[in-house]
Amino acid sequence: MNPLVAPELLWALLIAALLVTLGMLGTLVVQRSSRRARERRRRELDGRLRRLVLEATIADDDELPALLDRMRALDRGEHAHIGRTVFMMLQDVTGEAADRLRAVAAAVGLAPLVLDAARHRSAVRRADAAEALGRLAPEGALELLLELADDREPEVRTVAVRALGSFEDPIAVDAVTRALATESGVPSTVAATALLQQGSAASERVRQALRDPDAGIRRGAARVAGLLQVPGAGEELVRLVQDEHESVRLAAMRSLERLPVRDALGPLVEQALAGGTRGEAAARTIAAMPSAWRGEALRALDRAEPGVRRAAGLPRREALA
Amino acid sequence: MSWLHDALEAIFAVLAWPSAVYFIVANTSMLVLILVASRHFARYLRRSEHRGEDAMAGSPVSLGVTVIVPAYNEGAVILTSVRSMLDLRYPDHEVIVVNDGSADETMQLLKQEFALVEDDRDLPGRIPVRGRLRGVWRAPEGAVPLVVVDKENSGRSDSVNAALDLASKELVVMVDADSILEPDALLSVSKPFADDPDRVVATGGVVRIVNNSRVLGGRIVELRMPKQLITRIQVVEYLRAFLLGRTAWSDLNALILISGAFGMFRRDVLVELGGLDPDSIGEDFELVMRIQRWIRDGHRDARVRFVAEPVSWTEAPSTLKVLARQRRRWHRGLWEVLWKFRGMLLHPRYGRVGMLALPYYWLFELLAPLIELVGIVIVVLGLLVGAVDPVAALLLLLVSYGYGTIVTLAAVVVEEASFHRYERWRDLAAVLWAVLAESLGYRQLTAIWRIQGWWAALTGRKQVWGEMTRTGFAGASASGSSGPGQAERGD
Repeated sequence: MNPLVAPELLWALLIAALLVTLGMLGTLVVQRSSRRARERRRRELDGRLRRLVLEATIADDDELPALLDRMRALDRGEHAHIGRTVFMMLQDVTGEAADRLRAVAAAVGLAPLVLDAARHRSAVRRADAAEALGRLAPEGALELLLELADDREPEVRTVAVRALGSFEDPIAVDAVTRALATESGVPSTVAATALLQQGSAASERVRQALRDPDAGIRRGAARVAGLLQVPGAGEELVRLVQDEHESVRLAAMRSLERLPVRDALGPLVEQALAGGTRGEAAARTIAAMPSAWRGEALRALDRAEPGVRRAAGLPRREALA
Repeated sequence: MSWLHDALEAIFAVLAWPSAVYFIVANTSMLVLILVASRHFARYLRRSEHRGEDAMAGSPVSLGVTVIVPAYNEGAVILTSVRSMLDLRYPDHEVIVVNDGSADETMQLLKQEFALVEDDRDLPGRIPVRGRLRGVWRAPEGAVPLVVVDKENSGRSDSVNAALDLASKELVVMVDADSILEPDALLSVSKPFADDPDRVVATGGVVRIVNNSRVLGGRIVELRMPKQLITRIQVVEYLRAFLLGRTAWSDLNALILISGAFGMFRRDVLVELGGLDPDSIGEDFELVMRIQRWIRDGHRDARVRFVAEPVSWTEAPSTLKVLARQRRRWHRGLWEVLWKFRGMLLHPRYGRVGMLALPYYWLFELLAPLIELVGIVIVVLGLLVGAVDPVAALLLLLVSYGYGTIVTLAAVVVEEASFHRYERWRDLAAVLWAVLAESLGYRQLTAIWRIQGWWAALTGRKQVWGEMTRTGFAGASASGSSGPGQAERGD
């Protein structure tokens, strides 16, 4: 008989496997039990403290100090829970209610923690701090966020740039615009979204950015110019329809859908007849132009490829079989 | 029978250690993948405070997404499915449904519900489509554009190609009509494109099993483990292979398989590659392999990513017959794709895909059922003719399957520490029972089916698709007694 492998070794392996299995089962039970206990505790705190936070957001001015005093008197665990609640609520709240939430955050001592975390050696903690600085906006937040927007870690820079979207200061606008650069390490959509959040405060800088030598900055600026309805951007966008970079051309065409300029029709027809993705984008932009302008341009697209004709909303040449 | 006895003894002498080494390496490889995935999850979850998906959800500069929904005889689920696709949280998406020559009321239901009008715009014709188009329709109202393509039956891949031809957004995501997407699924699965728009060309989201969960209006309101044991075991399989395995391969930049039930791609790349291969059984696998070859052959700095958080929920087979058909099809698809791309195997030009992922798939996915079954047959024969010590043989089997069970248990521990989707204690108990039961007959059965699928491919037998039946999600729960069609497309 062939024993294959020494039975003693197999027994030892089997016992080891059983022990590991038991260890894992124990881990599972401990993990689940402790998570459930944490959730219970969180629910219990939520039941008591969320109401207090909500009261603070709607209280009259003379009632607020008393409410904040009540919160200050709570213990550390309760402060942490209020901090988390405020942090989450600030995601969906603006205006006076947001200011009240920030006052609550200050009362439970959240701001100093966030300011400290902004200089933590862990990139994750710095990124978390950047997020919190954007929402809580404590004193000194802008300066810290500008620092974090130049952090060595792209992850931190990204969160900082997104957070800078809540600040309308020209320095913040400039930092966000610079983050549009090709080599910034910050996703273009993040920086462009932050510029949109800054709104009209960013308009002039966006108009200048349309002439920036960096293609990434031109692309981002072109993308938001139409959405922000930047005054005087139309002519620049027409020029960018023939930019040397395809992505800039596409962004300019999309913006012209919202910021129509009659002079754009010539270059757009040219792009549309070239076909492909660029042609389809140009055709969509032509179709979005005021009906009084676009007739001749649409007729010119009669000889364009079918995908372009479809994007322009032109009917099929032949019926389906 | 002494010759058989001697022959088996000789075989044991030669094969015993290589087989043991094979089992150890196979399970250890999976364990390593689980560890890589758990490290990824830890990093991912630590960043939950500042991922910024909400900022993206409201941003008009996000990349547009076309959701492609191929539908064949989906009358039971189509309206719920389309409504849930239209309601997905995303700033700029459109939905294109392709009615693939359904024999049921799929098309009529869509026309009535969305008051469809004929879309007489030109057809791009960028991608060849085999099935004759009967018409293109669009919903005249609604914040999210809806286009419905009505065509003669030509299969899922061809239907996806028909929709791809009409897609107008930068990204396309393919979703099965019987799948349920979580509301934020598009936001999560498109995030790698937003974070790294110049390099990411494809992403895959995780597919999980919905059987027995409570579903209302196309949304899961209560997640429960399936009732049937074979479906429960599939939950564990999906967890180990799809969630953890693919996360790890993605982390290693060697992801070669994205589920057809939930994959997102850059549209221009798909158009350049000619869309899905309508002749391929493993069309999703084939597509990702083509993308990987396109990346490496063109020396492109591009990535295929897997995202563990967005979830597409799908019904899994709940009968042995349906499961058997699914596994035969999967293994046949696996063989055909691996064979088609055999030139990439161990070719340094293809980097980790050629040197790591493909050898793994050949050795531990394609050959695994063959080696396992041969091993079992030899051990049983050896026991019958007395060529092997019964105690030692039993111990060897216990150790081999025991190690596999530990690896699967490790996957459950990682899931519990990360996403912990099944909250009830009884569900955890059901998962643990499924982990144990997987080795007690299920693995061996699936090994047989997989060999059958492989054999069918080698002998050139035609793939039989089987009848499709749907329970639908409109009711209180998805019972899981569905037919083969959607289950086969689970991956």
